[in-house]
Amino acid sequence: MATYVRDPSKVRSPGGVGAARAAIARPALGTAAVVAGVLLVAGPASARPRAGELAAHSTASLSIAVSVRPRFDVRREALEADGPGAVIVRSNFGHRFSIRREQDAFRAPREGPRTAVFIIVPD
Amino acid sequence: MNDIRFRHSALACLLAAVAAGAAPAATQGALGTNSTGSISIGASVPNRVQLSGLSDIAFTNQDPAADASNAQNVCVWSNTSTRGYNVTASGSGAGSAFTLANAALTVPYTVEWTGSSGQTSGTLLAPGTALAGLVSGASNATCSAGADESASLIVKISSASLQGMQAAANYTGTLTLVVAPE
Repeated sequence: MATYVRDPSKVRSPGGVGAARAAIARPALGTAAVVAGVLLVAGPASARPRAGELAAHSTASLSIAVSVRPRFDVRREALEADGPGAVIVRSNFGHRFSIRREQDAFRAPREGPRTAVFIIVPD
Repeated sequence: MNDIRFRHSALACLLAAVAAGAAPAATQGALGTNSTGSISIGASVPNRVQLSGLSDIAFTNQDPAADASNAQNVCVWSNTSTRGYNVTASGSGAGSAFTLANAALTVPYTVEWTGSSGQTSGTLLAPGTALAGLVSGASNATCSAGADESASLIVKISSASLQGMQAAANYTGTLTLVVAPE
Protein backbone atom coordinates (compact mmCIF):
# COMPACT_ATOMS: atom_id res chain seq x y z
CA MET A 1 0.00 0.00 0.00
CA ALA A 2 1.35 3.41 -0.88
CA THR A 3 2.46 5.66 1.91
CA TYR A 4 1.88 9.36 1.58
CA VAL A 5 3.71 12.37 2.89
CA ARG A 6 1.39 14.69 4.80
CA ASP A 7 2.73 17.89 3.31
CA PRO A 8 4.34 17.11 0.01
CA SER A 9 5.39 20.70 -0.57
CA LYS A 10 7.81 20.34 2.28
CA VAL A 11 9.41 17.32 0.76
CA ARG A 12 12.32 18.43 -1.30
CA SER A 13 14.36 16.46 -3.74
CA PRO A 14 17.57 17.46 -5.45
CA GLY A 15 15.63 18.00 -8.63
CA GLY A 16 13.40 20.55 -6.99
CA VAL A 17 10.26 18.71 -7.86
CA GLY A 18 7.56 18.89 -5.22
CA ALA A 19 6.02 15.53 -5.41
CA ALA A 20 2.31 15.31 -4.78
CA ARG A 21 2.51 11.82 -3.40
CA ALA A 22 5.26 9.38 -2.77
CA ALA A 23 5.69 6.01 -1.25
CA ILE A 24 8.38 5.01 1.16
CA ALA A 25 9.85 1.82 -0.21
CA ARG A 26 10.80 0.11 3.05
CA PRO A 27 9.19 1.61 6.10
CA ALA A 28 10.97 -0.63 8.52
CA LEU A 29 13.21 0.33 11.40
CA GLY A 30 16.71 0.97 10.27
CA THR A 31 16.19 -0.17 6.70
CA ALA A 32 14.66 2.84 4.98
CA ALA A 33 17.84 4.85 4.75
CA VAL A 34 21.19 4.71 3.14
CA VAL A 35 23.68 5.93 5.65
CA ALA A 36 26.61 7.69 4.12
CA GLY A 37 29.49 9.62 5.43
CA VAL A 38 28.47 9.61 9.05
CA LEU A 39 31.26 10.29 11.44
CA LEU A 40 31.31 8.07 14.47
CA VAL A 41 33.91 8.72 17.08
CA ALA A 42 35.58 5.51 18.17
CA GLY A 43 36.61 4.68 21.71
CA PRO A 44 40.16 3.88 22.75
CA ALA A 45 41.88 2.38 19.77
CA SER A 46 43.87 -0.26 21.62
CA ALA A 47 43.08 -2.29 24.70
CA ARG A 48 45.79 -2.40 27.32
CA PRO A 49 45.97 -4.62 30.35
CA ARG A 50 45.10 -3.09 33.67
CA ALA A 51 46.52 -4.56 36.87
CA GLY A 52 46.00 -3.82 40.50
CA GLU A 53 48.71 -4.08 43.10
CA LEU A 54 49.44 -7.20 45.17
CA ALA A 55 48.17 -5.93 48.50
CA ALA A 56 45.52 -6.29 51.17
CA HIS A 57 43.12 -4.85 48.60
CA SER A 58 43.80 -4.82 44.89
CA THR A 59 42.25 -2.04 42.82
CA ALA A 60 42.21 -1.77 39.04
CA SER A 61 40.14 0.16 36.53
CA LEU A 62 39.27 0.13 32.87
CA SER A 63 37.74 2.65 30.53
CA ILE A 64 34.53 1.98 28.61
CA ALA A 65 33.42 3.83 25.49
CA VAL A 66 30.36 3.39 23.28
CA SER A 67 28.96 5.00 20.17
CA VAL A 68 26.00 4.01 18.02
CA ARG A 69 25.32 4.14 14.33
CA PRO A 70 22.47 6.32 13.03
CA ARG A 71 19.13 4.64 12.85
CA PHE A 72 15.70 5.58 11.49
CA ASP A 73 12.26 4.54 12.43
CA VAL A 74 9.84 5.25 9.59
CA ARG A 75 6.18 4.51 9.83
CA ARG A 76 3.01 5.59 8.17
CA GLU A 77 0.05 7.14 9.86
CA ALA A 78 -3.12 7.13 7.78
CA LEU A 79 -5.63 9.93 7.99
CA GLU A 80 -8.13 7.98 5.97
CA ALA A 81 -8.35 4.32 5.14
CA ASP A 82 -7.29 4.77 1.53
CA GLY A 83 -6.36 8.39 1.57
CA PRO A 84 -3.41 10.57 2.37
CA GLY A 85 -1.42 9.92 5.47
CA ALA A 86 1.65 11.02 7.29
CA VAL A 87 5.08 9.50 7.27
CA ILE A 88 6.75 9.78 10.61
CA VAL A 89 10.50 9.61 10.60
CA ARG A 90 12.24 9.16 13.92
CA SER A 91 15.98 9.12 14.21
CA ASN A 92 18.72 9.03 16.81
CA PHE A 93 20.86 11.81 15.38
CA GLY A 94 19.00 14.94 16.32
CA HIS A 95 16.42 14.69 13.53
CA ARG A 96 18.78 16.23 10.99
CA PHE A 97 18.45 14.43 7.72
CA SER A 98 17.74 14.95 4.04
CA ILE A 99 15.29 13.14 1.81
CA ARG A 100 16.33 12.39 -1.71
CA ARG A 101 13.96 10.92 -4.23
CA GLU A 102 15.45 8.06 -6.11
CA GLN A 103 12.77 7.65 -8.72
CA ASP A 104 9.31 8.89 -9.38
CA ALA A 105 6.96 6.81 -11.44
CA PHE A 106 3.84 7.73 -9.56
CA ARG A 107 0.95 9.29 -11.37
CA ALA A 108 -2.31 8.37 -9.82
CA PRO A 109 -3.34 5.56 -7.59
CA ARG A 110 -6.24 4.64 -9.84
CA GLU A 111 -3.83 3.68 -12.59
CA GLY A 112 -2.37 0.97 -10.49
CA PRO A 113 0.40 0.73 -7.99
CA ARG A 114 3.32 3.04 -8.47
CA THR A 115 6.37 3.34 -6.40
CA ALA A 116 8.58 6.26 -5.62
CA VAL A 117 11.65 5.49 -3.62
CA PHE A 118 12.96 8.06 -1.18
CA ILE A 119 16.38 7.81 0.33
CA ILE A 120 16.78 9.30 3.79
CA VAL A 121 20.29 10.43 4.58
CA PRO A 122 21.47 11.94 7.86
CA ASP A 123 22.99 15.37 7.68
CA MET B 1 70.75 2.33 88.47
CA ASN B 2 72.19 1.14 85.17
CA ASP B 3 71.97 -2.45 86.34
CA ILE B 4 68.25 -1.98 87.08
CA ARG B 5 67.62 -0.48 83.64
CA PHE B 6 69.42 -3.38 81.96
CA ARG B 7 67.31 -5.89 83.85
CA HIS B 8 64.13 -4.08 82.81
CA SER B 9 65.20 -4.05 79.15
CA ALA B 10 66.08 -7.73 79.21
CA LEU B 11 62.74 -8.56 80.83
CA ALA B 12 60.91 -6.51 78.18
CA CYS B 13 62.71 -8.37 75.35
CA LEU B 14 61.93 -11.72 76.92
CA LEU B 15 58.24 -10.86 77.27
CA ALA B 16 58.09 -9.65 73.68
CA ALA B 17 59.62 -12.87 72.46
CA VAL B 18 57.13 -14.94 74.42
CA ALA B 19 54.21 -12.85 73.13
CA ALA B 20 55.36 -13.31 69.52
CA GLY B 21 55.41 -17.07 69.96
CA ALA B 22 59.13 -17.22 69.38
CA ALA B 23 60.56 -20.53 68.26
CA PRO B 24 62.87 -22.50 70.45
CA ALA B 25 66.05 -20.57 71.06
CA ALA B 26 69.10 -21.10 68.97
CA THR B 27 71.56 -23.67 70.14
CA GLN B 28 75.21 -22.85 70.38
CA GLY B 29 78.03 -25.13 69.42
CA ALA B 30 80.44 -26.50 71.94
CA LEU B 31 84.18 -26.06 71.82
CA GLY B 32 85.53 -29.11 70.02
CA THR B 33 86.94 -30.54 66.88
CA ASN B 34 83.61 -29.63 65.21
CA SER B 35 81.16 -27.21 66.61
CA THR B 36 77.49 -27.38 65.68
CA GLY B 37 74.83 -24.83 66.35
CA SER B 38 71.31 -24.36 65.05
CA ILE B 39 68.75 -21.68 64.55
CA SER B 40 65.05 -21.87 63.81
CA ILE B 41 63.55 -20.02 60.90
CA GLY B 42 59.98 -18.86 60.65
CA ALA B 43 58.08 -17.16 57.85
CA SER B 44 54.53 -15.91 57.46
CA VAL B 45 52.66 -13.67 55.02
CA PRO B 46 49.59 -11.58 55.48
CA ASN B 47 46.43 -12.08 53.43
CA ARG B 48 47.04 -10.67 49.98
CA VAL B 49 45.21 -10.47 46.64
CA GLN B 50 45.92 -9.20 43.18
CA LEU B 51 43.62 -8.30 40.31
CA SER B 52 45.10 -8.13 36.82
CA GLY B 53 44.41 -8.75 33.14
CA LEU B 54 41.75 -6.09 32.67
CA SER B 55 41.34 -4.52 29.23
CA ASP B 56 39.62 -1.34 28.14
CA ILE B 57 36.32 -1.74 26.31
CA ALA B 58 35.18 0.11 23.20
CA PHE B 59 31.71 -0.47 21.75
CA THR B 60 32.20 1.40 18.51
CA ASN B 61 29.46 2.13 16.00
CA GLN B 62 27.05 -0.24 17.70
CA ASP B 63 23.81 -1.19 16.03
CA PRO B 64 21.20 -0.02 18.53
CA ALA B 65 18.88 -2.80 17.44
CA ALA B 66 20.98 -5.35 19.36
CA ASP B 67 22.47 -5.57 22.84
CA ALA B 68 26.17 -4.79 23.21
CA SER B 69 28.23 -7.17 25.33
CA ASN B 70 31.90 -7.56 26.19
CA ALA B 71 33.22 -10.52 28.16
CA GLN B 72 36.84 -10.72 29.22
CA ASN B 73 38.92 -13.13 31.24
CA VAL B 74 40.69 -11.58 34.21
CA CYS B 75 43.11 -12.83 36.83
CA VAL B 76 42.34 -12.78 40.54
CA TRP B 77 44.81 -14.34 42.92
CA SER B 78 44.30 -14.83 46.64
CA ASN B 79 46.67 -16.43 49.13
CA THR B 80 44.22 -17.22 51.92
CA SER B 81 43.68 -20.82 52.97
CA THR B 82 40.48 -20.99 50.90
CA ARG B 83 41.77 -18.80 48.04
CA GLY B 84 38.65 -16.78 48.67
CA TYR B 85 37.98 -13.18 47.71
CA ASN B 86 35.22 -10.66 47.15
CA VAL B 87 34.91 -8.05 44.43
CA THR B 88 33.33 -4.60 44.46
CA ALA B 89 32.64 -2.55 41.36
CA SER B 90 32.10 1.20 41.06
CA GLY B 91 31.27 3.28 38.04
CA SER B 92 32.14 6.85 37.18
CA GLY B 93 28.55 8.02 37.20
CA ALA B 94 26.86 9.94 39.99
CA GLY B 95 26.99 7.94 43.20
CA SER B 96 29.32 5.40 41.55
CA ALA B 97 26.61 4.48 39.09
CA PHE B 98 27.42 2.35 36.09
CA THR B 99 26.89 5.05 33.46
CA LEU B 100 28.80 6.42 30.50
CA ALA B 101 28.53 10.06 29.57
CA ASN B 102 28.94 12.57 26.81
CA ALA B 103 28.50 15.95 28.48
CA ALA B 104 24.99 15.81 29.92
CA LEU B 105 24.01 12.73 27.93
CA THR B 106 24.32 9.43 29.77
CA VAL B 107 23.74 5.76 29.05
CA PRO B 108 23.64 2.98 31.67
CA TYR B 109 25.48 -0.32 31.49
CA THR B 110 25.53 -3.44 33.61
CA VAL B 111 28.43 -5.35 35.14
CA GLU B 112 28.49 -9.10 35.73
CA TRP B 113 31.16 -11.22 37.40
CA THR B 114 31.75 -14.91 37.64
CA GLY B 115 34.48 -16.87 39.38
CA SER B 116 35.54 -18.84 36.34
CA SER B 117 37.02 -17.76 33.05
CA GLY B 118 35.49 -18.06 29.61
CA GLN B 119 31.96 -17.11 30.66
CA THR B 120 29.60 -14.71 28.86
CA SER B 121 27.23 -14.14 31.76
CA GLY B 122 27.52 -14.04 35.52
CA THR B 123 26.24 -12.50 38.71
CA LEU B 124 24.98 -8.95 38.35
CA LEU B 125 26.98 -6.49 40.44
CA ALA B 126 25.52 -3.47 42.18
CA PRO B 127 27.68 -0.33 42.45
CA GLY B 128 29.65 -0.30 45.68
CA THR B 129 28.31 -3.65 46.89
CA ALA B 130 30.73 -6.53 47.35
CA LEU B 131 30.09 -9.89 45.74
CA ALA B 132 31.49 -12.34 48.28
CA GLY B 133 32.20 -16.04 48.45
CA LEU B 134 34.33 -16.24 45.34
CA VAL B 135 37.25 -18.63 45.04
CA SER B 136 40.29 -18.19 42.86
CA GLY B 137 41.94 -20.99 40.96
CA ALA B 138 45.03 -18.95 40.11
CA SER B 139 48.33 -20.50 41.14
CA ASN B 140 50.34 -17.29 40.89
CA ALA B 141 49.64 -13.61 41.33
CA THR B 142 49.55 -12.66 37.65
CA CYS B 143 48.18 -15.89 36.18
CA SER B 144 51.33 -16.15 34.12
CA ALA B 145 50.68 -19.85 33.65
CA GLY B 146 48.08 -18.90 31.03
CA ALA B 147 45.32 -21.27 31.98
CA ASP B 148 45.06 -19.77 35.42
CA GLU B 149 42.84 -16.83 34.47
CA SER B 150 40.31 -17.23 37.18
CA ALA B 151 37.34 -14.97 36.53
CA SER B 152 35.15 -13.38 33.88
CA LEU B 153 34.06 -9.75 33.71
CA ILE B 154 31.05 -9.04 31.50
CA VAL B 155 29.90 -5.52 30.59
CA LYS B 156 26.61 -5.09 28.76
CA ILE B 157 24.54 -2.26 27.31
CA SER B 158 20.97 -3.12 26.40
CA SER B 159 19.43 -2.38 23.04
CA ALA B 160 16.90 -0.11 24.71
CA SER B 161 19.72 1.93 26.22
CA LEU B 162 21.57 2.08 22.92
CA GLN B 163 18.46 3.33 21.17
CA GLY B 164 18.28 6.20 23.61
CA MET B 165 21.75 7.35 22.65
CA GLN B 166 22.53 10.08 20.19
CA ALA B 167 24.40 8.95 17.12
CA ALA B 168 27.81 10.38 16.27
CA ALA B 169 28.55 10.91 19.94
CA ASN B 170 31.06 9.00 22.04
CA TYR B 171 29.98 8.16 25.57
CA THR B 172 32.81 7.26 27.98
CA GLY B 173 33.36 6.27 31.59
CA THR B 174 35.56 4.30 33.99
CA LEU B 175 34.80 1.08 35.82
CA THR B 176 36.81 0.45 38.99
CA LEU B 177 37.11 -2.97 40.61
CA VAL B 178 38.39 -3.67 44.12
CA VAL B 179 39.24 -7.19 45.22
CA ALA B 180 39.76 -8.18 48.87
CA PRO B 181 40.79 -11.54 50.36
CA GLU B 182 38.45 -13.78 52.31
